[in-house]
Amino acid sequence: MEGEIDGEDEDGVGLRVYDNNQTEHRIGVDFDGEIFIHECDEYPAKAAKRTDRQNAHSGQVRRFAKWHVYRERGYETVRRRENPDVLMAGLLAIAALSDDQFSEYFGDIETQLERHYSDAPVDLPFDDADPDDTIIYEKDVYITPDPLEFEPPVLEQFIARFEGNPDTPTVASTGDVPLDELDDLLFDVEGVSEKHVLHYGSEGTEQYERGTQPALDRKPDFRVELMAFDPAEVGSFQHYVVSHLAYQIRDCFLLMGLKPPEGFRATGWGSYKGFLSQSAFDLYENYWSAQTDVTSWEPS
Amino acid sequence: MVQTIAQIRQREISSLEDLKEIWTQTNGSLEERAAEIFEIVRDDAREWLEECKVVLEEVEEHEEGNYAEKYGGN
Repeated sequence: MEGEIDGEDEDGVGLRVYDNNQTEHRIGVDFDGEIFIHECDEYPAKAAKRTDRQNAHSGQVRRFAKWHVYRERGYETVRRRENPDVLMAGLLAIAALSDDQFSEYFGDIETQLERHYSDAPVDLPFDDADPDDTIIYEKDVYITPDPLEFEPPVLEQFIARFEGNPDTPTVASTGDVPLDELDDLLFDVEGVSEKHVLHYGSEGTEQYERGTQPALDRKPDFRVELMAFDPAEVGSFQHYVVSHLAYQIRDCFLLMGLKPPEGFRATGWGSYKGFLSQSAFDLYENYWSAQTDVTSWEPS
Repeated sequence: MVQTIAQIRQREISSLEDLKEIWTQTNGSLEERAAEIFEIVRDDAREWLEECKVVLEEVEEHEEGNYAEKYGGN
């Protein structure tokens, strides 16, 4: 996956992206991240006429184009909860919470998960939902300071603290970021939403109950998305949520058609969109499952 | 503070290769649930994913278009 910016005007930024099939796409991204041009001579225009791989590559290209414009021109073209810099800041913010703070923000989800594996009743907002169905619990999280105000970007600063090569395009090698430019990367959780609940019935139906947002006059920074599991399997639920955000960072790179940076190449539950994509397209392995023996971290 | 992040801050974990070892995992319950719906999701996911809906060469909510006229690049 490679990108080359051709120009910028009052509408946005134009760039050519070469997907992992070496096919050229011509993309126009406006300053809010909306794609207003997507031309490709090789693939059918209508999604239904494209192969699964062509659809997957088209999705990768669109996400990569937004990322490339964000990193090269500094516009907020990547949705915050799909931006690895924001997710990295969120990971650090949640890791820094005391036990009491973490319990205040996420204790309701932990309690709910425990109920799935005990004799306690599981309170679900859907009349026809079985607790043994697939349930995903979500929380939107707001952090401060703004993770997009950092230069070098947060993820680059984090990776620069370690020895080794991240081994992926668009992320600087550790030696490329001067140590005297590193910030402390101290982030605080400013607020969280009530939990949202996503339910899949065995017949393939989908239901969604959205929780209330805190009284903050802005959009959330990221979203914790946890598939129901037995929290007794993990030593620390807080550590699990932190790890889940590392897996979300992994999924962001994979869905852009890029290898995740070394350090984030591990299997586990990341983003819901990552799970769907890894289920639908054979150019991904089942990175979401801790039981997968990964053969390649490079999406084809 | 999560122990592993404390280790990072105290430089006890120094390499990217070691970093990936610290992320914790479930041990079967999640995978068991997910496997049950995997086949269902495999079929339905195409209906939910943006890339399976988007029409290429479409000018979305903009009257501008034609990449070559706007940005060249040929």
